[in-house]
Amino acid sequence: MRATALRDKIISERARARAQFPHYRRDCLKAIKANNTRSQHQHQQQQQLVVPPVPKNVHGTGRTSAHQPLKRFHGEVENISSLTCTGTAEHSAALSVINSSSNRTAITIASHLRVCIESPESDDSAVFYTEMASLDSETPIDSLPEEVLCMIFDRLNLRNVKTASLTCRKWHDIIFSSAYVNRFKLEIRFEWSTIAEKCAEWSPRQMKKMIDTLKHTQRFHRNMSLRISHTLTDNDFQAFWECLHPRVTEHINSLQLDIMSCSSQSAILAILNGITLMPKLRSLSFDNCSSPYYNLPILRNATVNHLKMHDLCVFPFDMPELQSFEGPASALAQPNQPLVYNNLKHITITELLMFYRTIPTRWAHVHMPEIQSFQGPLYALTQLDTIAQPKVFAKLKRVTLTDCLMRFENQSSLHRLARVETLHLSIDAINDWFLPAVCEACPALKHLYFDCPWLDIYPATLRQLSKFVNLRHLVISSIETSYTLAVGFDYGLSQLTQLELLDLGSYVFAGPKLKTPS
Amino acid sequence: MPTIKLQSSDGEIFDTDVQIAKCSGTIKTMLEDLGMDEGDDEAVPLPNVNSAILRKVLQWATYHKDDPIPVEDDDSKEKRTDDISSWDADFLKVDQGTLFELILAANYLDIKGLLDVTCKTVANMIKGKTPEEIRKTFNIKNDFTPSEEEQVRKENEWCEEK
Repeated sequence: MRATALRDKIISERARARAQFPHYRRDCLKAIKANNTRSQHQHQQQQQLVVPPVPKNVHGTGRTSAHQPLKRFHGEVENISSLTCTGTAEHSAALSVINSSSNRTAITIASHLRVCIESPESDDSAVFYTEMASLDSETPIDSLPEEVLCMIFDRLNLRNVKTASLTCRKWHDIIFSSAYVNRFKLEIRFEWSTIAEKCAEWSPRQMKKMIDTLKHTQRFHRNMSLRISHTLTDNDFQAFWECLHPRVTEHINSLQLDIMSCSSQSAILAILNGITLMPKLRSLSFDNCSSPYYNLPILRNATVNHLKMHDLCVFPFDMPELQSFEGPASALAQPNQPLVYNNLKHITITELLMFYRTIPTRWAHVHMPEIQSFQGPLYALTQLDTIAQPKVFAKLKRVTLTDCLMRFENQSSLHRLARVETLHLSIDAINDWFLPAVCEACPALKHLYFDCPWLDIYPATLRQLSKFVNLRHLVISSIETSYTLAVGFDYGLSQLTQLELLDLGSYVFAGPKLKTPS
Repeated sequence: MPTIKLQSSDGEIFDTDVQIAKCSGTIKTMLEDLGMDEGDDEAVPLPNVNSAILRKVLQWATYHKDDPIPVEDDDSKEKRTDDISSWDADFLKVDQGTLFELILAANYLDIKGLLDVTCKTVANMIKGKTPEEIRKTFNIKNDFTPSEEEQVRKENEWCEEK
């Protein structure tokens, strides 16, 4: 068949495939896209395509019978001028069979070989895939494509999926070298243990074995959790870090660090410098650490979206893509770091004390024009109100207040919440002024949640809920009161005519009947 | 009851209730997108499914036609595999070749319930076994060298659920 005739044939087959399978083009593109993305992730890894259900008759025969995997592949393959195969080296023999074949030779294809046939003038949709089983396959499970095997692995717990990875290379590679690896994290812990335990745990022999294993790893985890302890010598750390960085770390999307007990400044510096060079890092979390060292370099990373810092550990940082931050407020207003957070949408303030130490004048220079959600104590909000740019509140839609007690009689900060639509109250007691003040300050409020496990509340205070006439959701996870209520006590909830969801939790008062909107 | 014709890869025509056929997302979309009318004489071609498997699939779909629509998969939900109904368990007492053909058909036809129960069945064949027992079950050849196997074992020690 000449090239033009071939192209016409492929185009007509494609049209037919599209008509028969509306999702075909999309699925096919998805597969190609997924494959492209993956190939960027895995340099020398085997390419394994996730193939969507494709009309197999595009290129000839499909399966021969229900129980017999395809043994021979007939059809137009031998006439196609451009044929690319993805597979392991042992498949090259099969590939040459295809290349040298002419006329109507039956082609034998090694197991799991995935053949990709491209039209001479390929456009984005002109790639068809087909999958073939081996000549004398007696392993029916090999007929399942990678995406289906992943669905099966999804239904196994960690222990069983680890065992499955020991079955054969194909399964191992699907589990640990495809996008499936997202399910897992690489967790390395040099425990902070007693000297005796340390000797048992990290003998030089063990350390050597660990480093050998790391050196030979072909797994590129996307998620990593690392705990460094002071028991690790600088030399050991260096040997360890050289195996990990950058070969393994360049694939990392999410990194959790626990360097609380690490007393080696050179180790901390190596890790911080390493973070700067992790091109795919999106989420960085210092779960537990102390920073006894000053003059640490600015922690720079151009890709991190989410940063979590521990209360006791504050590094100056420069992360222009930061979208969410969790940690002490002072971390956002440190000296020696840019104070403009143009992409920051969510902040969670975890610690109050640090706020006092922050120089208010620095906060006055903090720009966070895109903040949509705030979580933290009302006091932090009040502080922001007094010292930070008013723009902080311009787009604020969701607020979670976490004070133990609403004891700050500062109502003025609430007027900043005029646009807030969702308010979570993770508090265990509220003062009498609070609900009316919120009601007045937040005319846009649609969703009100009481998240605290225990909320002691005056009946009269509860009755004030009747003022929130625009509420769509009212959820009180649990409510308990030491006050005796008269039977038939009316909370006035019947006035909340817009309500779509009312959940008073499992501790609804005994006795009174709630009037729920009909 | 309105019916449509489904044509298997080997040319057999199955007259099927539209309601039953539509438990397949693929067929549902085809009917909606191509505007195929009920009672249309033209058969819907299913070139990836042979008649033996299509017959099984339709048997499953007929039994489950009144099932509630399965909710979207929630990642946080723990995936159970011990909740296969006794009818499904009996229905899936087939040889491996047929079981995998059913999975491929369920995947291609986009029948979530059947895909779920067939995958669970295979997962149960893996659960609790040693690697050697898994290989025996599925006739998989161990293509690891001893040192590679040791490497996998060692690396698995550092692998945790995200």
